[in-house]
Amino acid sequence: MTGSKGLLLALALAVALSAASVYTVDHYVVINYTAWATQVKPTYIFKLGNCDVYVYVARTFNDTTVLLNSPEPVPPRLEPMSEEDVEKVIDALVRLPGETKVGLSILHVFKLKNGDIVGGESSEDLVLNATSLEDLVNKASEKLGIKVYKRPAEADKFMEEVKRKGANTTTTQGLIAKVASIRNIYKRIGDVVLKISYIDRTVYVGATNLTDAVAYVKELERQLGKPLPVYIRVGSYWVSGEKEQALLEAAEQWEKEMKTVRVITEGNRTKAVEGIVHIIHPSAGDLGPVVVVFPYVNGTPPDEGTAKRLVGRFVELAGFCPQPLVVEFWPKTGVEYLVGRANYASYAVPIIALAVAALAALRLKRR
Amino acid sequence: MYSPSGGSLGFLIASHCRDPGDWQKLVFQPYFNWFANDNNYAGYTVDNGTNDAYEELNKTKPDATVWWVLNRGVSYWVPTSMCGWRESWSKVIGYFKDEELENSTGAWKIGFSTGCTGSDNALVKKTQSNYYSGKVFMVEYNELKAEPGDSGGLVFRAGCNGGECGVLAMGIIIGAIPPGGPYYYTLFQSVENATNYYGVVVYDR
Repeated sequence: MTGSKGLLLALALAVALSAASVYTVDHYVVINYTAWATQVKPTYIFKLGNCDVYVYVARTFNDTTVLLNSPEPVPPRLEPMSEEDVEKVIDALVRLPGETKVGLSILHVFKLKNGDIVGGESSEDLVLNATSLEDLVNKASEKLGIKVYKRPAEADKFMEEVKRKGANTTTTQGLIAKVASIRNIYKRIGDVVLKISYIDRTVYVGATNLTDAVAYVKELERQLGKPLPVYIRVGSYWVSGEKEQALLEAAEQWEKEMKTVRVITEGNRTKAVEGIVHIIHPSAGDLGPVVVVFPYVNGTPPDEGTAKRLVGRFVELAGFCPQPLVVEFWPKTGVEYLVGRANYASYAVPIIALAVAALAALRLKRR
Repeated sequence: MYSPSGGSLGFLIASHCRDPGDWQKLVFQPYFNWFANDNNYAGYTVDNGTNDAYEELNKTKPDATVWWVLNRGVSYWVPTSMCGWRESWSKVIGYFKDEELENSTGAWKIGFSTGCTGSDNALVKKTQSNYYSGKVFMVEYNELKAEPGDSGGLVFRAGCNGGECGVLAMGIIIGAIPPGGPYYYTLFQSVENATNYYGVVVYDR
């Protein structure tokens, strides 16, 4: 069987299995978020224009909806690749067309006020147009003005040496050394996003088109000459920064119009906020479907007509309808800030002692 | 963590745990006591985080405050024996970037009220609302239990970074959904967002 026939067969199998949310195509683990978000029987399904809306109404928190009491799409664990292979995959990814977003760990060695030498880490992202890993490292180094290592272990080794020698530095306090190392790579090609990180040493692909995603991963494997640990997340749409913001603003306006929000304070602190709209991203990055969770309006679960009106208003405010739109209605939404109560008993001893001292002083004065 | 412009070590805590008001306040442990001289003094906080995400114009502001610790020791060792792990203490060897947290698996936390809770199977999802700013993630409550008093507790997961293995910091506990309970999701603020906002360096080496 040729490679392309094998791929077609695998994809056909994937289509047959697509009712499930986690399955494999060849050896790639596919997590299908559209299948997951619609796997539970919705309370209502209706159309808003050309948009399919799946509505899940939880009458109690014991009901099953997409987000409540239903199994999450937990993919099987994959064996991570070696650091050497990560480096090769990064090189292959950089060579694919388009700009590369590189996440860098910035490593510092610092002398504290008390003389201790400590090491630490911050992060920085750069978008670069590079032709190879070597080129990427040079361009990142030029932009940051510090040495950039290809692998975290190499940078760590260098910093350990600096720390060891740091005890002899004449610096009284402050930065002794700063270098960077590549941490992750993010590449977007059309509707496919490919990512790899030294932290979990696994390839993550996000896509709205499984065929395209598989083709890019096959190309990476062809260049490496061996199979890779790959998760492919399949969604139904991308929610860009602007669209994400539009959903947030629509949620805010909807909350105001429906008068659902109640802020609960305790003393001078906000303890909780009830009745807000939650926008939840089950998948990674900006890969939809997102799930929009509404509170009940007027304290009752919505019938189909009411749900249509409430969701319709949200879509109108957002200015677009993600396809499919997955929404839930919960008896109670909002956030409780998990702040502890002040332990007044602990203040009691000094306060009582102060009071006793004041009384004693008063008595002495009267005498 | 430490600041490249300062010279002390500190911690991230939840901004809403601090009394609103001045951006800088003194910290006493376990409480303020006139008779303890300097023994209870434990540093000061720098709070440019938000106590009111809704009214906040800068939506990137995290619900996080930096507590610069003075008069006390600071360690990057996490007491993972509390979690039933084989290692009694695990070193913080780094932290997750926000995009590495999205749709990732595994979350543990150590909090003041409920100690260590968590699961290697907990799925992490990004969540948004105008009532929490910064970068906030959620985990099913059954997988990551937290109660009032746990805010500011470290959220973490086992992992490796460079040649070393230990725990990687994910964030700090901030809240739970829905208010009043029973809770169904636990919320945490990401480390990357908070440390980048304050311009501090994570002390992990």
